[in-house]
Parts: sequence; structure tokens; C-alpha cells
Amino acid sequence: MLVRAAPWINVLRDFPSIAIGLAIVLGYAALALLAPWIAPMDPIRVHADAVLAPPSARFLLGTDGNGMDLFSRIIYGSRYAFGIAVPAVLLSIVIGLPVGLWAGYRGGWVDEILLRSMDLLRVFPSIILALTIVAATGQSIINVILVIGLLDAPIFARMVRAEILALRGGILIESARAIGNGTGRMLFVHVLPNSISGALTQISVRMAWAIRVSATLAFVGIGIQQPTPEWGAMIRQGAEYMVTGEWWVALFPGLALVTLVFGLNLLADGIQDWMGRRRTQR
Amino acid sequence: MLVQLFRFLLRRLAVSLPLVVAVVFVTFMLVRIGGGDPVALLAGPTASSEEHAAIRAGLGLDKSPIEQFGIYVVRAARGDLGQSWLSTKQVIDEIRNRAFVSLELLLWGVAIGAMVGIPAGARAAARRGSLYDQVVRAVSLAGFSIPTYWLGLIAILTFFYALDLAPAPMGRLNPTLITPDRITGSYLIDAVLRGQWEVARSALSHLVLPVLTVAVVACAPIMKHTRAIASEIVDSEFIRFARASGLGERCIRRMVLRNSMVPVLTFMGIEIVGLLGTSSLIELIFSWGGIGQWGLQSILNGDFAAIQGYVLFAALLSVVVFIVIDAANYVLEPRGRERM
Amino acid sequence: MNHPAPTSAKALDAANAILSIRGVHLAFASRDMQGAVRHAHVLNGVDLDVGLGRIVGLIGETGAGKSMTATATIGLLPPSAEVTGKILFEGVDLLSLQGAALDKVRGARIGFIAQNPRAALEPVTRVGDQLVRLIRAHSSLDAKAARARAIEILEAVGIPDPQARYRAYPHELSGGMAQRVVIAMALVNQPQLVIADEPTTGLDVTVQAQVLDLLQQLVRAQGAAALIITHDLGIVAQYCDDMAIMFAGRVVERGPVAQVFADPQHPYTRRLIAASRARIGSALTSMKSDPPDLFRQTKACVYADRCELAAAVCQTAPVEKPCTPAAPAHRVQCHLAQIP
Repeated sequence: MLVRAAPWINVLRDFPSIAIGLAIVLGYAALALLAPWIAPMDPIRVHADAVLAPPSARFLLGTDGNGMDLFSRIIYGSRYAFGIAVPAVLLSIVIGLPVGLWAGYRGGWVDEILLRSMDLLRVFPSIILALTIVAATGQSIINVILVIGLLDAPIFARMVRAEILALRGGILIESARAIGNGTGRMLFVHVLPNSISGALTQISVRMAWAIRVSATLAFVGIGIQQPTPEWGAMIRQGAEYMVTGEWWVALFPGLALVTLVFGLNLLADGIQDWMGRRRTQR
Repeated sequence: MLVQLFRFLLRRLAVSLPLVVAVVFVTFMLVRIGGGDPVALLAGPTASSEEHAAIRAGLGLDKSPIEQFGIYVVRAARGDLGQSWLSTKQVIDEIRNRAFVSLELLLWGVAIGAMVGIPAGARAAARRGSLYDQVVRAVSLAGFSIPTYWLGLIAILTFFYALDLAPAPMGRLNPTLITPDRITGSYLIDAVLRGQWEVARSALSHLVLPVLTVAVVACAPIMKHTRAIASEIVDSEFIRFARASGLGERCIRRMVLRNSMVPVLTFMGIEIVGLLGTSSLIELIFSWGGIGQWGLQSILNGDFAAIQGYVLFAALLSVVVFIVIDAANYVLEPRGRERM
Repeated sequence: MNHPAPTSAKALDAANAILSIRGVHLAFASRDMQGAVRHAHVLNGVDLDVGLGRIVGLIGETGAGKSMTATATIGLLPPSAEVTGKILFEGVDLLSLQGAALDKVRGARIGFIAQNPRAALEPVTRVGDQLVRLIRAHSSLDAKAARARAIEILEAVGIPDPQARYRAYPHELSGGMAQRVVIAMALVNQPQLVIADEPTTGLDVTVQAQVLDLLQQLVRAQGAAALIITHDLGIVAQYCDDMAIMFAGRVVERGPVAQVFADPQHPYTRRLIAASRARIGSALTSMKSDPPDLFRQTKACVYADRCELAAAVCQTAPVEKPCTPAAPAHRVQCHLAQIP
């Protein structure tokens, strides 16, 4: 080959996890964006004549207990998955980043609170905490996003804090200060780029987590409910019909959920491996 | 060393209790600030405003939240955790009756998950890059991605509906059988202890699916972390030196195992705490009747005292688990003792 | 204090050499940032002999390949290493040994002293028990006898109160103490060859001298040979009988210390000695130049790029030859060395 392949193609080739994971995630993202044009039917349209219909040519994945087409609902469900995961993770970063910067740089009570809240989250199963908070504060999508975002914020804060603490011990900050760099510039030029590699992996992991938690909440009956086409809520309804043999109602939403979460986790794993190789190359 | 261990444990307890109080406080406030007006529910649609006020006073809801919390703490110290509005039973009794039921499920699940996951992770670390290793990584990644409740549903579908191997997912025992007299609270153990074999068999068959579901979900992170921990040790300088000293592969394997124990134990503690939430969901699906199911339903129903009891139980259990793990670390890990 | 060598510098041949490294090439495959495969040529034809009862100093800058030579000799190369050549020890090619056969040699016939003593010791086991484990792995002594031997060797390496120190954990020891323990472990099974990989790194200067004195004394007492890897010419001058200088994976000059210092033949050796005379301490830290690129394979002399004497003939790799007929043990790889 006369033309050298672009470097990112080599990354994809060397790390199939990244390639496959990215393919899955982008595939679902495409579903989410193009839902109105891809879905064969209106997701909340009731087909009274075909309640609990098994998969067929007309209803590719069958219909649920309300007579709504499962295939269309699953496609629209990806909108809710991304619609919750992306803002939640963004929120975590927006809150976590400044808190972590402050905690690492100034220490003091902000640092203390951060450490204590991490202890708290560790002491307690986070799912139960999320359940309790959302149930108590009102069951809406916004609340779900807020709660997940807040619960994950300490993770990003801790990452940035660790980065700053590592740099503080080193010569970098001393020498930067010696040539007169201000605090702000130092943070932007040094701390942030170093944090990004760890952050990329975490973003993927936290998104997977957000999707799982919101589905769990919906499954238990908190947060999003029928007839909204959210995967967890769909599984909740499907649970009733499992014992009577209408397996498709819960199986397919679950499969969609598993696949997307798997894709995100695979992507995170691949990114971690890639960053590992990059670090040993320097 | 025992005296020092005891003192160390006391210190850990002293540090942990404020955290428990903090968790309960946060829940307390949230539940009261949030929606859900139990007074209206209890009074019924035809009650007058005086009856409303009377009920409110009776429940103690007319005082300020802080006052209420104070009263709660004082009563809790005496063992009175309040009363569930829905069942009108004492919260403490509900917890007492259901605690072991949940623990049975949780502990069996974790035990099986660990028995499979730890050796698998260790072997994968020894053969990194091999096919075995890749399979282990893929399987643990998949396990991370499967929602527990969905897995439980699939298990029910496959083994109950399709293959007719498992009993109906309703409770812990065939409803036609009489529950054995309580010794431990576990139907299986009690039935075996009393020689009631048919009951024991039924209890066992009802345990299989939920326990296996928990085990599968627990297995994934255990495999992944064991692999990571063992890998780090296999790469370490002292293992290299041991090889250079001709100590032999069997001895090296034992060294790796011995040095992995502490980090793996620590991780298992975190795992168990996380599984508290997961097993609650399993209880819901299989109608297990444990604390998890009760707690989740209380959350849905806005049953204040019950929710607080559930949260308190979970927090205390976490603390106990962590303290046990810390004690084990103290005994097994010589390096940390000065720090502790 | 210098202990003189028992054997004189006869012509080094296989009969008099306990360790004979011949034509060893070592390469590692890896991927660069763009993902293309490339090979790092770490050793490019190493020829080295360690005479019976002689202490040989292996010196070179970082990346010259000295540690890798030791790693290859002691059998610690990773499976991905591509190695050719022979490493003869007591008539056996170490590179052909694997598994149990290799484990019989190392730790018993060859002792190894690691660079970072505290990292080399297992963190969760007492040092005395680690010693005993090593003793029993290579002998048939029972527990009591092994323990007695362990205390004996701890005393021999100058550890005060060996009975008490036996029960210490590695992290409780100072750097110097830990290195003494490592030396004890290397010597306890009375090896014929001791390989010490930068034994004084990380130690205080005063402790360095003590450790090296001890090492020299014990090696002589056992009549063993030693290969000391270092980047410090001072150590070579003071403690070694013979020396070998490595550059870019080849031994460019070797011979008895006195002769090489008196009449260095290779340009690199001359620069080293001159630089160390100009400064006290490690000569190599003051030499300014880029390290050789291990990924480039060249037919020329490896030092040609940095050599001030480089001529056209230096575009082919030189063959090793003795410097004078009178001193055949002193050899050099340089086209331009003046051979009378």
C-alpha cells in the first residue's frame, strides 16, 4: 500500500473491543436519532386486535400487554436510554470537575466533604440509595437524570483530584509557576489533558451504569412508567407474562438493554487497553 | 495481638456509626420532604379534618422534621423502629423475620459466585493472552452487562416454563407443605436438621434459581477483579525474585494466592454490599419474602418507618461486612498494621 | 578493604570459566504508535566469561543490555523474547533449560541478588520463613535444621540479633538490612556463581560500601565467582577482578581490571575512565549523548555513530581480539585498537 493508513484505523484493528463497542454504541445512537423514520409503527399506538401477539411478519417482535408494537417501542426506547445517560454523565462531569479541581488544589473542607461522600457511597449499596431518593423526590425523568448525575459526580471529582495531587508532588507545577504561569492556565494545560485518558473510559462506564440504573428504577416501578417506551418499564410489564409464557414481552427489551450496555462496557475496556499501550509507548 | 485487634475494631466501629446515622438522616429527610401523604391514605376519603389532625398527631407528623428525627433516634436505640403503616406491624419484627431469609439468598449466591469466579480469575491471570483468558474476560464483561432481574426472568422462562424443571417462582416453599419449626430461619437448613426430607427438597428446589441468578451476576465482577489483582502480583518484583531463586511453579502459585487474599477479600466486601441491592430485586421477582422485597415495596408505598428500617438494616449490614473484612485484613496483612 | 582473588588471570577459556556467554542475541517484538511491528535488539552478540572464583564487573550505561544479560542467564526472559546463542554454566546451556531443571540450578548453583531488596522480598511472610523456604527448596534439610542454617546465614551477613530479625517482615527492615537478607538468600545454598544486579541502587552511600564489602567477603569465603552489574566505575575498580564494558548490546571490551584501567583500548572505555577521573562518582551520568536506538539494525560497529575515531573500516562490525599476546584475557572489539 502506497498510502499509509490513518492512525485511527490501526487503533481499531489492534483493539477489536473498541471497534465492536463503538459499532454497537453508534448503532444504537443511530436508532435513537432516526427513530421516527425507522420505526414501522407508532410506539404508543394500541392495536386492540393484537394484544400479546407473538412475533410475526406484522409485528416483528410481537406486541405487549397493551397491544403496542414491541419493535417500534424498543427502537424508541433507545432515545430514552441515551436521553438519560448522556445528560446524567454530562452532569456528573460538570459537577465533578470543578469540585475535584478545588479539592485537589485547595483542599480544605471541600476535600473533606468529597472524601466523606465517597465513603458514604461505598458504605451503602447505590441502587437502594438511588431508589429511595427518586421515590422520595418525585418520579420524573429529570429527577432520574439528576440523581444519577449527582451519585456519579464524586467519581469524576476523585479522578481530577488524584491527577492534581499527582502533579502537585511533581516538578511540573513548580516549574510552571517558576515561569510565571497562572493557576488557571496550569490547570487547563496540564491537569485536564492528563485526566482525559482516564475520563474517556469512565464516561463509557458511567453511561452504561446510568442506563442500567434507570432501567432498574423503571423496573421496580419508580421513575418512568407505561406507556412510555422505556426498556426497564417494558421489562416490568413483561415480568407478569413470563410465567404464562408470553416470553417476548420481557425478552426483547432486555436483549436491547444487554447489548447496549455490553457495547459500552466493551468500548470502555478497549479504551483502557489502548490508553495502557499509549502510556508504555511514551 | 487479639487485644490490638479488638481495639482496632472498636475504632472502626466508632468511625462507621456516624456514617450510618448520616445515611439514615438523609433518607429520613428525603422521605419526609418528598411526596406521599400517608395521612390521607390512612384516613380514607371520608375523614374529617379533625380526624386528619388526630392521625397526624398520632403519627408524630405534626412536629418538625428535626424533632421527629430526634425521637426516631431515641426510640431506635431502645429497639423501637416504628410501625409500618401498611401492615401495622412493628418494623423491628418485620426485619427480624425477614433478615435471615435475605441473607440466605445473598450468602449462597456470593459463595457460589466466588467459588467459580475466584479460581477462574486466578487461572486467567496465570495464562494472560491465552484463549482461556479471553473467554474469561468476555464472560465477565457480559455478566456486567446483564440486568439481574432480567436474568431472573429468563431463568424462570427457561427452567420453569419451558423445561418444567424448577418450581413456580412464588416463595421459598411449596405452599402445600408446612414450614419447619424455626431454628435458623432457613427452610432448607431447618428441614434438614429436623429430618423433614420432603420439605428440604422443596426448599432446595425453590432456592436453586434465585441463588444461581445471584451467583451469575456476582461472578462477573469477582472474576474480573481477581484476574486484575492476581495479574498485578504475578508481575511483581518479589515473584520475579522467587523465580530467580528457583522456588518452583507450585510454590510460586501458592505465593500468588497468599498475596492475593487481602485485596480479593477487600473486594469481596464491596461486592457483597453491592449485592444487597441486587438481591433485593431478585427477591421481588421470585416473591422471596425477604427484607429486600419488603423494602422495595415499602419504597413504592411511601411507608416511612419501613423505608427507614430497610435503609438502616442495609447500612448496618454494610458496616458489619466492612468491619469483618477489615478485621481479616488486620490479621492477614502485616503491612497495614501501623497505619491502622 | 579489598580481598585478593585466589586465581590469577589465566587465558579465559571454557575450562577456566564457570559461566561462558557466547554470541547471545536477544530481541523483543512490539508495536509502535502507528501499530507497525518493530524489534528492539537488546543484545547483539554478547560474549562474556566469568572465571572460577573471579569477580567480574559488568558495566555500561542504561540500555546497554547489562541487566538483560543477567535476566537471560537466570532464565527470567518473557515468552515473547527471541533469544539465540549459548550461556554455558558448568557445562550446561542455561538457555536450553526449562522448568524443574532450571529451578534446580538457580537458587542453588547460581545465586541472584535483586536490585530493589525490599520489593524482592515477599511482603506477607517473615524474612526468616522466606529464607527457610529457599533452603528447603534446594536441600533435604528438615525444618529445624533449615531454621538453624537460616539464623547462621543471617548472622554471617551481619544482621544484629538474628533470632529476633528472623521474625521480621520485609517492610520493617531498612534498605541496607533488606539487601543483606537478599544477599543471605543468594548465598545460603552455597552457589558457585552469584549474579548481583545493581546491588547498591537506592542505598545510602555509606551502606553501599558495607554491602559491597560484605558481598566480596562472602563470595571469596565460599570460593564462588560473581558477576556484578553496575553503572558505577568506582565499584568496578574497587571490588572486581575482571571487568566487561557493554554498549548497545555488545561487550566492547573486557579483561582484568588493572589492565583495562591501565591501557583501555576501546574509545568508549577511554571516555568512561576519563570522565570518572574528572568527577567523583558515577561516570556515566556525566556523559552527554543520545542512547543508541535499539530498533535499528546495523552492520557497522555499534559505537560508530558516537566515536570520535570512526573511520571507513568501522562500517563493518569488528571482531573481538586480544589486546596483546602477553595479556590474552584483555580483549576488545575495535578495528583501530593498537595491537603490537
